[in-house]
Amino acid sequence: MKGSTSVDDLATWLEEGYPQSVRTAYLILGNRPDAEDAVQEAFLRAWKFRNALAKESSFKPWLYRVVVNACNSKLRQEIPHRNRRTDDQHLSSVQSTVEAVDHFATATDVASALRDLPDHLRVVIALRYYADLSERDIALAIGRKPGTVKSRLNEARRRLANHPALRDDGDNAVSNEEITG
Amino acid sequence: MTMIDEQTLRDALNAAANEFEVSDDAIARILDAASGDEPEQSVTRVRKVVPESRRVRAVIFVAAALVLVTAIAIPLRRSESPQSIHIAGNVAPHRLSGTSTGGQGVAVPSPVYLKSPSKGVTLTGSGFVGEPKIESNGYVYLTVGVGKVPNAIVQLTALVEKDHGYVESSQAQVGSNTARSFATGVVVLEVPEPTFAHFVSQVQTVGHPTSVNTTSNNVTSQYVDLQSKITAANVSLHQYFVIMTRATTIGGILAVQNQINAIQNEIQQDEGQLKALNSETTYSALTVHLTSGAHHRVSGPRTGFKKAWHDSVRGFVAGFQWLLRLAGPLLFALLMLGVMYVLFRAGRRALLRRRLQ
Repeated sequence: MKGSTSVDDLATWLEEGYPQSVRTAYLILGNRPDAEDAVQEAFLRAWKFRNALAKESSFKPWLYRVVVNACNSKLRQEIPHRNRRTDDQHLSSVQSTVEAVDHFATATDVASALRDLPDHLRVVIALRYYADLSERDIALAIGRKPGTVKSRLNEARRRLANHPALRDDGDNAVSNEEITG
Repeated sequence: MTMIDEQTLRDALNAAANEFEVSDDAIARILDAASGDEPEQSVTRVRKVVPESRRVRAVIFVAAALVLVTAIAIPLRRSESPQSIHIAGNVAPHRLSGTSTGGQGVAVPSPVYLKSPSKGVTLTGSGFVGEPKIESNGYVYLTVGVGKVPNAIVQLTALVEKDHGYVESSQAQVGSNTARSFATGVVVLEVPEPTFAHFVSQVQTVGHPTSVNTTSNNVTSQYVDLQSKITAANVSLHQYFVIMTRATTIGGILAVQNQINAIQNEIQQDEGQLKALNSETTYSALTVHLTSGAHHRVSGPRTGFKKAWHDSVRGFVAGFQWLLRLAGPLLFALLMLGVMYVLFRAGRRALLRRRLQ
């Protein structure tokens, strides 16, 4: 991936990274149009500054850093002016996945709880459990220390477990209890 | 603490995120927008600003070291410069004296000289040749060994005669040499003013000084004023004498004679004050109070282990003082470095963020 210079390389980037990036952005932003806009901006920005990639140690965290920054820009600038809850492509409108999730918590409940998380916690949750980045890569992507990432992940999981949408299902939603500290 | 299961979360997020299909049109739009787009060169500019090379880091390190050294050195130099000493009365231009301490066993610093004292006061007739006129006096409390007050008086007399001075008065009460009896003495010594400060330091070697106080007054202006008044009065007197030679009537002669008498009285008074002032500035008075204490023993010069032990304790105290003096500037320097580091981090992060946007 390093040292890419031609448009063919960008095509490769997009084929490999676009779907997952746009879905990650969707989890962060909560709606599809904003996610697509953000990822488009992110890829164009990444392509523009592709020389910087030569000095980065890994492509994936670098690309996600650009995506997260684009999402943060969207969150700061655009989304507060939108009525996210009326959007028919909203996360909470996911209904068809209930059967697909053969576990205790439904996708709808988790999506609803995810939407109520603070932005910085939602970002680390999306990167860790959907984009499947390691804590170290997430730290690179969000420009924080790995300890901070770990702390945010724990906080996010704790909040999700205590979220009413998940607690309504009682024992089903929270299937695991960890005693920490 | 209750936490949601990781696998549950992972599955739910996958389900939520994969519920729509990603259109190929978006990829095509990005490719169209990116075609012909040259890499941004501003990265190089950013990297020039963001110090990442060894050379820039070395410069920053040197700058930080300079800040550290400067922050430590300047306060230390200031603390080592001569400190002002409170002096009672007018400040003598050629000598700083007036140190004062109190309490038993306190080390008493000797008077501080800025330059050599003047070589005496020269007063020729009614003329003043320009030497400052300093009036100095002081007192010293000395503790000497039991029964050693007479010896101390003898030593003081020898010292004052050596400096061409004299003993103005001497008073001593000498008791029996028992542990419960004390002997005291008061000696007033007059020494030439230029040697006064040196004499004060010499006196302190006779016993153990517990209190030293010296005062210096610059009376040059008073001296000059008196001289001017006398000169003016003499001129006036001379004029009245001329008038007297021309007076023809008895009334006129008596009136002029009255004026001459008044002026002559005034001149005599001024000359008396001038002489007194001259005497006070020629000789300085030092009152030495001697006390013989049963619990005090005058320590002689230390030698051998005693000296080594004393030097060791003094060195320890000096080292501790040095550390304390160093702590303030060092903390300040560390604070400054911390601020610089925070600013550097903030600036670097802002630039990186801007580069990625």
